[in-house]
Amino acid sequence: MSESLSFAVADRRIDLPAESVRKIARLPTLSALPGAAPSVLGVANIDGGVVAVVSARGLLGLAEAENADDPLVVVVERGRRRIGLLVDRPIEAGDAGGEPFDLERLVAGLGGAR
Amino acid sequence: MPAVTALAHACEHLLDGIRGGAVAADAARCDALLRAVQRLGVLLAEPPAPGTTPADDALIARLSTLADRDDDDVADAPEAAAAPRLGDLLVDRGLPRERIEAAAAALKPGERLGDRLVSEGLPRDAVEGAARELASIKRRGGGFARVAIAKLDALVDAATAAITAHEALAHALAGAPTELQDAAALAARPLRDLSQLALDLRLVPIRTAFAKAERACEDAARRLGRAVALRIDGGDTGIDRTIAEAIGDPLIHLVRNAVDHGIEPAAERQARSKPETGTITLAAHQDGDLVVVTIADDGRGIDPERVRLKAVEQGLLAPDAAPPRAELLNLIFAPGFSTASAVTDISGRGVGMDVVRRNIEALGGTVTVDTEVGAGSMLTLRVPAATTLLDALVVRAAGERFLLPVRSVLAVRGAGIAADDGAAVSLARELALPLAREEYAVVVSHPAGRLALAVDGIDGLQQVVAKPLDLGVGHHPALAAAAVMPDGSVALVLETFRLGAAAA
Repeated sequence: MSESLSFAVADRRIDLPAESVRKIARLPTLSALPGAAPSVLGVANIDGGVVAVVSARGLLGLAEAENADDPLVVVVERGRRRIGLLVDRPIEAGDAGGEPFDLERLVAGLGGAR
Repeated sequence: MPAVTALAHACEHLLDGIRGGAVAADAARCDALLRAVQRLGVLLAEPPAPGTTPADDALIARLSTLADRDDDDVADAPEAAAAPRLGDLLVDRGLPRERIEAAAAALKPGERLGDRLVSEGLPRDAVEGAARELASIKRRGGGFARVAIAKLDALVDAATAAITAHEALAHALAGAPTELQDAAALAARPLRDLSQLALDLRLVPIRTAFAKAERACEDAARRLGRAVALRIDGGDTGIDRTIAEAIGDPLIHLVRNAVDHGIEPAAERQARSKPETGTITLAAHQDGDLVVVTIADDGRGIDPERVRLKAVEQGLLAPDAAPPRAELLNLIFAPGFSTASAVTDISGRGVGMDVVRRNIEALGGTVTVDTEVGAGSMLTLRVPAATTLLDALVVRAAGERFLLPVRSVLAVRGAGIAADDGAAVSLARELALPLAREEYAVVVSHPAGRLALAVDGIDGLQQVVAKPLDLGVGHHPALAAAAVMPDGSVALVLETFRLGAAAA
């Protein structure tokens, strides 16, 4: 079984395949991306590359945090693109109970051309 | 600042050599230039005591050696790839591979392939054109270096970072003594050249994207039992690797469509006194900072009346509507639209022209169709050619910064617009952002004439490295590219001809 990294999103836990996670960063300065789906928080410069930052809460249909302290962006490789996923914090993996999180399906639902 | 000056001059000398074609922009030269740029940054940040250091002298010597010679340690470039062969270039020009291979196999000693092909009746124009192209490739030095794509990307990112850092440095030196500012300004041109060279290295010939479509065409023709010849024109047109990959699928779809719905069965073609073999032409050429790709077939064409009936049936058009011809034809790109009554195995997998359009628009491109009943159809894609250096006007709307390409800006107005400034459009409203105080207007060129874009503020001019926007999450169609600003944040580039749809 492949390793995964776990993150807290509101009171839930999501698991992402470790090999697809490129970087975990503090939330950089965001610029608005007009016309994108509501879960898309904006675009940011991460290591010289332009990445769309998407709210994991939004993807899961949860309310956005009022003032989350220090949210993190998990940069995930999706084919030839990268996407930044905003999560609350990393959590220790190991125990069962992580939520199956089909990033591919959720992001494909955002309406961008593939 | 003699140290900075000497180093910057050495960079410039080498870049002149590369630009003029005297020496190649190989790995060794890129490496030396990058080290020089790094060193320039250090020198400018911490001005040293007068005089150069031995390390700088060595670097300057290395730069001038590389500028003057094109034979020495260029060999440390990785494995040289073979130059293309005449046959390959002919296949690119749409000549049948089998005949060329047969001719090559039957070649007598001392006989030239080109002569043999002409004597066998292949078009002299094409053969001579390919021979000229091959000669010019050989003349340009012929050597090719294989470089890992990740390294190219890292080079572009490093060059982008160097430009961004230099812009930041110039800003920081605004109040500094003139000689310091002049020294910093000296680095601007070499940096711009370096960046452009790095960006050019990302270009690939568009034939890499055509190759897959070529195979798809053969497959589709075989399965449907159609006789189809695919011609390729302009396979050498340079296009950004990312864009070449992204247009691959749309091209496959369009070529399959052309075979399936365009080219008629042989009997039908005969009855219309058309050549039994249908022709599909995939062509590309550069137009400014765009690449124009056309997919043309000599098939049955699209009947606008059938499009109208189908659109009415699908509820896309009111029964009494009579839109102009171009608008009517554009309905083939509407979601769910399909004129083929039977869903075929080849092109009817639920992927429609709407997906093609969405894919192309996500790249900041457009797709249009033209057709003549009985004579064939032509689809035209316009996509950005490359990541480019862009001179942009920085404007603010709803607290966000946007970049307008300077080439599209006609005038900037403080209060009130002139009578001939065109339709007034609020940029914030256009992008569905909250309205703020709009105190300025930027007059931009637009197919409908001119457009006066109301904005909150103007932050001046900025040179940026614009990368085509390809995020995969959807965005307003006017957003064509993204650039990293000197403060490290991202600003989006607006394609003005996609704004003001209501005003057009």
